[in-house]
Amino acid sequence: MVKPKAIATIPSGRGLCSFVVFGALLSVHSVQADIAVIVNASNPVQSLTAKQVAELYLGRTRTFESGQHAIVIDQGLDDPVRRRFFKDISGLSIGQVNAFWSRLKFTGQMQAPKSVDGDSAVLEWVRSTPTAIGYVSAIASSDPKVKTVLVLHEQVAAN
Amino acid sequence: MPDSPKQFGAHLKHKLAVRVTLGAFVFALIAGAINFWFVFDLQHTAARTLQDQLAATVKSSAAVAAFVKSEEIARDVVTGLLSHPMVASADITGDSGSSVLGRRDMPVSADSEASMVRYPLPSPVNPDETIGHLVIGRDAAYINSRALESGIRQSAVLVFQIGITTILLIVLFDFVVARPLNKVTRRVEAVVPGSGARLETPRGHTDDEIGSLVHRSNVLLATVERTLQEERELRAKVEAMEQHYRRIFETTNVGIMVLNQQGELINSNPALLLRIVGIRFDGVQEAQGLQFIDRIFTEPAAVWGLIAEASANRRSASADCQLRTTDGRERWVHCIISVVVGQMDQIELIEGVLYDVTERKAEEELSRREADHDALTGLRNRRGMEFILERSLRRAADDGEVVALLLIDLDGFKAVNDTYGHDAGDQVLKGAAARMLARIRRSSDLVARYGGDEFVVIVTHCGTDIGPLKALAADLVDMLHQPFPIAGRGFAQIGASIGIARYPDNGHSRMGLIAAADAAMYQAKQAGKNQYTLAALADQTPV
Repeated sequence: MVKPKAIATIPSGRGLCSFVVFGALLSVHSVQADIAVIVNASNPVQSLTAKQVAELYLGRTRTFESGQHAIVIDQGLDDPVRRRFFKDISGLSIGQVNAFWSRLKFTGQMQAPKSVDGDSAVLEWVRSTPTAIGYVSAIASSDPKVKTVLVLHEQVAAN
Repeated sequence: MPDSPKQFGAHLKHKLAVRVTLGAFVFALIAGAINFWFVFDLQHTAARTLQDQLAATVKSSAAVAAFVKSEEIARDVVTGLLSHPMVASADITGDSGSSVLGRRDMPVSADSEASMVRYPLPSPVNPDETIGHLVIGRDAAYINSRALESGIRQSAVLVFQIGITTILLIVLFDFVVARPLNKVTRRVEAVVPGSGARLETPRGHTDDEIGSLVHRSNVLLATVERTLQEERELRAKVEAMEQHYRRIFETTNVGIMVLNQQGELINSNPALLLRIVGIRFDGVQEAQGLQFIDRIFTEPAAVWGLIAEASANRRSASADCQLRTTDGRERWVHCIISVVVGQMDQIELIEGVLYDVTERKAEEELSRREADHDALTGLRNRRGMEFILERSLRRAADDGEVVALLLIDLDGFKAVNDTYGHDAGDQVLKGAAARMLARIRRSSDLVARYGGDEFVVIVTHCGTDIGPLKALAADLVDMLHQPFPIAGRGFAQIGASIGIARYPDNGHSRMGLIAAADAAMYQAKQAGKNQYTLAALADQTPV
């Protein structure tokens, strides 16, 4: 159920040809955008590690360092960004993540992160909710009311 | 073997049963113990393996529980684990180690502590990161009881199998070995050796030990049969030979006797008792034990002498012996004595072969008499006289006695012969002999015919007194002068001239004495016949 991290470093969903464009991605901001993890601008958190993000999104922690209860906003279930996001932060596939949450929900106590469709819906939630956390394509994250705490670069992932 | 019921243990089946049962019992004990230990150990190993398997089964759920720190999930997992009877305790600890997510259902004993295993729980996100532990404790008491139960059950099965195998073995042995053997035994009982009967091989045992037993028994039977046949033939031969010898023993004229060292009869043949000894015994038994030698021989000492000689020389000794008889007739046997001598030189048996030599002895006697005696007068002849004279002289020399020799010459005998013939002469000679014998009565004295018309009278124990001798001589002269009747021819008259010589006065030897008597007789003739003359002493002039 847990994929080794080494595999997670290879961009998923690409063929061997993606290696060919890999160098271009390093120098030029490619169309394949980075993913930005964002919180409300009022949140004292300045940055988060991938692990901290993963623990929030997989139910291991439910609060920020400040002790505020985190409202975790997820993308739509089948969104490609979501697939990349979970892959990058936990190495888990969407199927594994879904199965994980199914099991937790089955016990009746745990609630999966709130799921909304599209970057704008996520932005809207994070903008209006002080303790919310969400993720969007980096292009869509330039909003003064939100704060980027982690950028998931493909290069970072590649490195 | 008779069909009498055998004791328990006299049967191979029972012996085998006892031994196999004992062996199986010991084996079952050992095998049961080893098996128990093995199964017991196996159960414990299986329990440990099961523990690992249970841990592996619930590991992902436990990891999720530890990851999200969900007591509910942890409880689910722990409850599931505890539902297994082998699990005594289950617990899920968080990454800090102290936060207890699960629970313990059983009191933890030292034994359970030992059986506790901590399985690390990896993070669902990062497999390299341990986020907590799953702790499972085996229920040692349960496992022990299971192992015990299993071990006992399997050992019991093993013992049962051994038991069944043992019984099967005994039953099979009975069918395969004991019964065929008994069958063979009964056949052996029924077989009469020498009858030509053979044993049958029990079906299906041709090529095994029972078959070879039967085969060897048949070979033995054949050998016994052949031996018996040879024995029978030999016995028949021996019997024929024995009969042959017995016939000889019984019908022969030779007497055969076997005596013990005391001379008592042990055995004899009929010829000995009936024909030779002539003593009427009602069978040999009556004669047995008698002092046979003393009983049948006139001179037992001579026979004992033979026995001693045979014993000393280690060979048979023989002699003619006279038998005692009741009818007054002499019976002689030639007796050959052999002696069986023991190791200590003692006589063990005396064997005697006796054959009747009475007739031969009589013939010998006759011829001896013919040589020594005169056929006409029955008197000893000159040869016989000389023998007696010699003997008398020897005895006289020993005893210092005096012996007288009277040489008698008939006067006028030639005239009788010439006048009346030789038959008449013979009658005169016989008559003269009879008259002289009538006068000479002492058995130690002798009348003999010296030759032709000469006679000799030997008188022993004369003593120094010459009177009786002179009287004798005078009587003889007188008696012979009396006329002799001649059958149918009247009478013939002769005379006698007698010369007397005495030992030792007139001679010391036979020859000397005869010569002296002859000289004296000549003097009597010269003096006118019909008279006697005493021989003169050698140093005296004749009277």
